[in-house]
Amino acid sequence: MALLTFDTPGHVRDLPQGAPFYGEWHRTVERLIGTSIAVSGRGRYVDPSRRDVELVGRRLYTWTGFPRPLLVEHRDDRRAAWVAGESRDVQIEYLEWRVERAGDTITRITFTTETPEYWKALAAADRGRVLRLYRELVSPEVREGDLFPGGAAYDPLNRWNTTDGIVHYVMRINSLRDLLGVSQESEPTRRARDGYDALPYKRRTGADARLNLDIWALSRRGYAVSTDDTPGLYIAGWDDTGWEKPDGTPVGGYWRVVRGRPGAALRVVYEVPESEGFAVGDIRIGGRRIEFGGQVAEHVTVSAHGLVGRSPR
Amino acid sequence: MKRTTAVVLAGLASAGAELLAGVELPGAAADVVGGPGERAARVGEREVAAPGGGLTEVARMTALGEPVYGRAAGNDIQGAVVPGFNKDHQQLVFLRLGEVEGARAWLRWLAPRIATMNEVLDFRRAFRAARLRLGVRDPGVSGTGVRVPELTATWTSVAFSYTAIELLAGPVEAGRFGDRSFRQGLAARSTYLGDPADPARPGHRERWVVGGPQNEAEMLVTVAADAVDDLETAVAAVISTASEHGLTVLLSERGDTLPGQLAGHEHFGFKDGISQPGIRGARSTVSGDEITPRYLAADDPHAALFGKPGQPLVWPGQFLLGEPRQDPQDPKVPAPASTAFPQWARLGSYVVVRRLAQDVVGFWDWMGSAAAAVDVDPVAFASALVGRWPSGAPVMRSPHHDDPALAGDDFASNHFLFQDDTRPSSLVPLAGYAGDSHRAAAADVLARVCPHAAHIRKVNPRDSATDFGAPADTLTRLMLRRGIPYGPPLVGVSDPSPQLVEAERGLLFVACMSSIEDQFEFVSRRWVNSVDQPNAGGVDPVIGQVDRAGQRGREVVWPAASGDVTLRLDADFVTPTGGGYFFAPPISAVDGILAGA
Repeated sequence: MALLTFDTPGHVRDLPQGAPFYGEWHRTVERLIGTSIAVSGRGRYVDPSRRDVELVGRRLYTWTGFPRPLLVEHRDDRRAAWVAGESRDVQIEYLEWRVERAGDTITRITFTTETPEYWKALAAADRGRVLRLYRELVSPEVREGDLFPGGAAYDPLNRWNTTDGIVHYVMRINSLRDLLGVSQESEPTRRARDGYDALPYKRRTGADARLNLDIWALSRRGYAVSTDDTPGLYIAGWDDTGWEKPDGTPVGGYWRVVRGRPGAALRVVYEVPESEGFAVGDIRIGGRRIEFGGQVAEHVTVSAHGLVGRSPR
Repeated sequence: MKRTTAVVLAGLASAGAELLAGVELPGAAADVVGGPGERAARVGEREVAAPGGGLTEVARMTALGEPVYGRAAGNDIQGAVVPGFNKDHQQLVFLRLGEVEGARAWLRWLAPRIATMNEVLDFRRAFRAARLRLGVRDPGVSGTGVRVPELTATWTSVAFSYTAIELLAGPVEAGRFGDRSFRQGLAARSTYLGDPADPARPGHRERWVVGGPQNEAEMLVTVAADAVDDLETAVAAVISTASEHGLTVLLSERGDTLPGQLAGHEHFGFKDGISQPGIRGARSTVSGDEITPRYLAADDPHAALFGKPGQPLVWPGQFLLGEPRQDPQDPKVPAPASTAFPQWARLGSYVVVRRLAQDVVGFWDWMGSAAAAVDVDPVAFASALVGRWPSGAPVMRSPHHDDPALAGDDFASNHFLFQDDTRPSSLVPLAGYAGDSHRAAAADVLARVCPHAAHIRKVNPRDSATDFGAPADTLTRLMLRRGIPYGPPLVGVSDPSPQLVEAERGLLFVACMSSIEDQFEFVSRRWVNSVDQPNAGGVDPVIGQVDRAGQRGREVVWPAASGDVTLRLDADFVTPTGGGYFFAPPISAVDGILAGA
């Protein structure tokens, strides 16, 4: 297949088509991908923008949005896991969310898989566009100084992306760099011949296990693995089947993809239309009222897209 | 019924396995069979450590660091949980309690009749050894058709709903059960499991024969026997004494293994229950006295992980409350036991029961038409989507045709990985066993042989990573499956009558575990019913169900030679018609706290 040019996550067009920003973004991703790094076995992690890959298949790496480490830690007390999961500092599965409430009742949950790298790059290209997007996505009250304190560089930990809103990742190791880093890691023993040999697996997140173990297995078969276009993290979908309105009937489709597209969304809002006469917090999942964003995040599938192929050495 | 379906159903009569024969299992250390009298004399003598440490106990472990369940513990654990009854005939009696004191008095009658782990395990060892030696499925039947008394048994078990425990032990004790799903009950969790949301549709909880909001069972008594007359006698005693004590029978339903070559198969025609986790732990520190026999030689790279090839060893706390559990990162070390239960419930197990009606004709009609659409033989197509051929031979080891000899080889039929080439196992000496000479499973990392949607790949992804972790995590999801078919079989019948075609049939799904939410519900909702978990590729086409605001359609990805083909399923092949969430307590609690002691 042809060499890839890395497009923006979800092919979003925050700046006009043809803007120099898009070339800059390609180079940003390229810098994050170590070229032709050995993964394990006979396979190779390749940079598909530099090395041709004879495509064998595309791989959708999927995992669950709620932090697995919390469910492991609170194995016998799921509620404790939900409570802990409300902090974005622990939302470690490349999915972060923010819960809004009216009193004790949840009214809206906003999910994002957007990376700080993208927003930094966009801010470097066009501050005004970043300000307008923040006002559109979070609040018309956002001021330039909130995002660019003292006129300096973009502050990813600004109040509208932390205490007062959500735009992109803030959790320490949620980033495109971390995704690509995990994707290129070697199997530690370099001796594993199957998934059981690779145990014990020390990392606790579902995302790491999914990416590492899958890529190691592909690599052992001699496949070249790489990121597919467009590199990034996506909300692949959600499962609201069986969720019930207060009257016991099935919920409607209350999900709204704000950025990206269905199947590869970057920003999704879960909110019940006012006409329904109830709120998110009145919905029951398996007979349990939604009290925490994590109860919904548990049913959100996060994904990364990969290529599987053969690459000449 | 389509003509192709009729041909397939008739042809499945010969889908049996060629059993091993002449194999002598290594002798297990002799142990005492724990009868009811002996159990009564030894209650309180426990030989495993308890978190509370209140009893006189001696903590013991095997050389492998696994817990030892001595005579007292083995007489307290219900044999239906460990190692499981596995009888050809079973009756499930769903009951509602009447007046509490009457129910308690009845429990005192029932408790000494409950089969213990010790007696079932002793029987199982003798039975299995005879089976492999003689090469017959049921060595309990002599050549002249007469039952062999020492290889014939009738056993009973009991389990309680949360409501029953509230009534019998009080709300404070009941409230100590941490499993929220158990406390809610199956009916409340029904739509979470993908059951129909529309009350007008078959499968909606309001239409269940038992376990719906209006007819939830409070107790479940299971009687299992090798012989039908033994079963009927025991069931009659259970029902008559229960009635005398004010209990009401909501449903009493018989399950039977399918006849002849199809014994052990479910109604669609496939051998069922082959892959079960092996429970870690032993009855003594003597080598060979493990609950799950160890057939892998020490030099096998997976010797510490598997009992026999393909049978993973799982820490007992995954099935027995209060015992060391599976560590989600490292399968070789135990994780701390749960403490989210009342102390008297230790060594008990949650029991999930689902009465699942099976539409055999609908299943094969769809398989036939979908197979034709992708130009594949219908049995081969359905076998790929199950993951096993009708005989039970895994498609990973026999991709192109059924293999009765592979299916009948206990040391080969479950030995395969999905992601990598499967290496031969190194076994301990097994006199009379010629070794596993069947074709080894080749890596199928792209799921071209066994699709990601295949039933066995959905419910147990084995060596694969999942959405929720490495293969170590998958071991925390496994259950002890104890199901049995009900209703008259259609498979193997040529030219069935319309009445037989229309007759209801299905599976009495029964499974034991220590967390309903993290085991049964997780596997059902998060894997079986999901299009993209544990691996993207569609829902489980056999038991998967999805209800999207009344729409039941779902998709399965078929890996055709020319590329993936997405197939649509609109009909349900399996319809829930009843069940319940129960708790099978240690026997000491049946005539103890639950009986008002």
